[in-house]
Amino acid sequence: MLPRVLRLTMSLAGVAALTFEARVLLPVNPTTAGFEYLILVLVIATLWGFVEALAASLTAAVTFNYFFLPPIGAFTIEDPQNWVALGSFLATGVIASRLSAIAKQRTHDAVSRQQDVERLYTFSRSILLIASTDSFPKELATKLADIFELSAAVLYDRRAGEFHRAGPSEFEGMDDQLREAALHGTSFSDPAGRRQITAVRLGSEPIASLGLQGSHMPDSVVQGIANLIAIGLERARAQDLAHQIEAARESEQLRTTLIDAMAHEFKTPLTSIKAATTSLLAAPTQAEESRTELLRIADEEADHLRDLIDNAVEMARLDGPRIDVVLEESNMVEVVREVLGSMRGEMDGRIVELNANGPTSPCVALDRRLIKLAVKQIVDNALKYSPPETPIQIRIDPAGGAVSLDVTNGGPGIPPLEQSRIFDRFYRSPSHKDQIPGSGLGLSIAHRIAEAHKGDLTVESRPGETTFRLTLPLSHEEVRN
Amino acid sequence: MSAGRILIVDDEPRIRRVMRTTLASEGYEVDDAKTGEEALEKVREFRPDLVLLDINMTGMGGMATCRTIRSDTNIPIIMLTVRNAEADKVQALDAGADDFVTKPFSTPELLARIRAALRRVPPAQGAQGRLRVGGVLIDFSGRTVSNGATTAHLTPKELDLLRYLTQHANEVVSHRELLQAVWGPDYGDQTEYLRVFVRNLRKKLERDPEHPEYIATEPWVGYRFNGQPEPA
Repeated sequence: MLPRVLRLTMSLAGVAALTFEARVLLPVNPTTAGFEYLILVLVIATLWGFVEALAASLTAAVTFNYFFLPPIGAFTIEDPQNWVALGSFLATGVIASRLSAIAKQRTHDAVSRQQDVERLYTFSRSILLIASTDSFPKELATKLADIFELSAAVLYDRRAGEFHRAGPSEFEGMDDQLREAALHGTSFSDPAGRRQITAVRLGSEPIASLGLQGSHMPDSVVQGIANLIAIGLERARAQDLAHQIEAARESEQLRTTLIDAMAHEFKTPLTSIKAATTSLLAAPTQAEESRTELLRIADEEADHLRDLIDNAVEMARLDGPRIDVVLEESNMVEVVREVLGSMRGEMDGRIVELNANGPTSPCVALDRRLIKLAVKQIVDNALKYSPPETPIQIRIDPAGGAVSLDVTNGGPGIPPLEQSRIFDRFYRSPSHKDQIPGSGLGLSIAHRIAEAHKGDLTVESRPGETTFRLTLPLSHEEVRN
Repeated sequence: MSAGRILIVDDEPRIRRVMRTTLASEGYEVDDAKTGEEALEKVREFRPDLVLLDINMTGMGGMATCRTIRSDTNIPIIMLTVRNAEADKVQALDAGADDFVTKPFSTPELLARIRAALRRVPPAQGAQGRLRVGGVLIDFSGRTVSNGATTAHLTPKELDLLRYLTQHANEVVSHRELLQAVWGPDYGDQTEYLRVFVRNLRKKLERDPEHPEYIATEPWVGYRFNGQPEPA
């Protein structure tokens, strides 16, 4: 906006120009000249405000008297009626400019209120969009400074005792007032320096304080901001709490699930060992053949128990946030054969067909230990969820830059709604979970192992045929990148 | 001579293997099945004297298999379970099992339970054939009981329980005494067995099982059979 001196000069110049026009260019009678002056005053009031309009109307009154009211060319007025005319002109000019200035101020206030409301709305939306992280209060201060175009904003979180600052300049030297506001709910305003401090309350209790610099906002807006910040801080706290509870619940679920799975898995070899040893102890004189068989069972089951313990430890370890892979060039067919060899007990005479396609066996960069574990989980899953008389088919196919391993079983199929969930931790199909023992971790871990290799594990299922496909990239580079 | 024919039903091959060896060395004739469906077939073909049945199996499941076997035979059934919760035991007994064993178990314990399940309460004089008590007719040789309105089959344990109670009619028989007489000397604390079997007996025997006329409960002590049994 133009400086006031310039506006005043331009107002006076306007009066001069109008006088020149009405006197010299297009001479008009005093009534017309009076109306022209009034229009000019109203325009100036609308454009620039009361002071400029008042200056213009006073000047116009003087020039009107001098140039248009007889005796022309003198500051005197002969006819008393012209005094009335001049007085009316002056009063109309002043009142009209006052009214116009008030209307202008109101428009300005309304626009500014609308802007405040829009900013508060934008701020409330952005609070909802801030991801709840450790830096939530800092983000809050940054959004506040951005949206309200503040030169500095500071949020003091009383619970954490931390200051969170944002904005292009610093809000300095008022930390004590901020602490005071957060503790006792006091407010502080410094219109000269355009700095405001207000308490952020939740209910009646102050939980934080807010310092704003660079824009003097009405109290209602500052209060609105403080309320939004209170809600935001509380929401973040509630989310933190919910995350903590969720983490505790998950860890509790992991514990109970592992215990349940262990109870079942571990009791099988334990039952065999206990039955064999107690039988030997109770009847030491039984036939040589039967004694040998019982000892062999106890020995094999002890090995099985050791494998189970190793496996459980491995599963618990892989359930962590990160899986480290140690890659080595390996033959996929060989890896699968090794897995099948170690699963003879679980297979219990089931037919498992292994088919490898392609001219040569594909060599893949993989972590043998992890991939063997993943393949074992997939095959174990196929064995568990399909009728004993149906075969399990395994196909290895090199395709493009990857190799795929398909494990197909003749089970009843996985309902489409469940297919998206079976790789979730602890997910167990409601139709099987009471009948078939399991932890709900196997497929989730196999999926994570595939991802750690930059591969994937997917499922396709229809009644009577379910295929799990493990895809792994062929070369080291693809895994490493 | 074979001590009896036992069918082992468990989906874990290793459990089947150790039980086969153990039971065979004790002189039992053994066959096994890996699913409930196979077990039903083997019950018909192998005609076992006793079935050892795992609760947790894929497919039909132990409970359903137990109910199906029980629906048309009186073969004693011992269920195997990994969980030692009372609700599981009651569910197993309700399904028609005579007893159950929690894994892991010791061989002598399993053998004792097998012997108990195969044992019968020796019939007393005059209690061999048919007895009439009020409006109830008990046929021990035909394994049936009729209360005038319905006739029902009795499982071996139900029959033994009823036989023991009628032999001690109008006396209070303690839980421990009943358990030891019907299941064997290793028993005594398994009152949930009695709750389930007495409830089943009342359903077959009483006109109004909720207000029993013949088998009365003596709270905290045991049961009493009311009425004077007479040979029919």
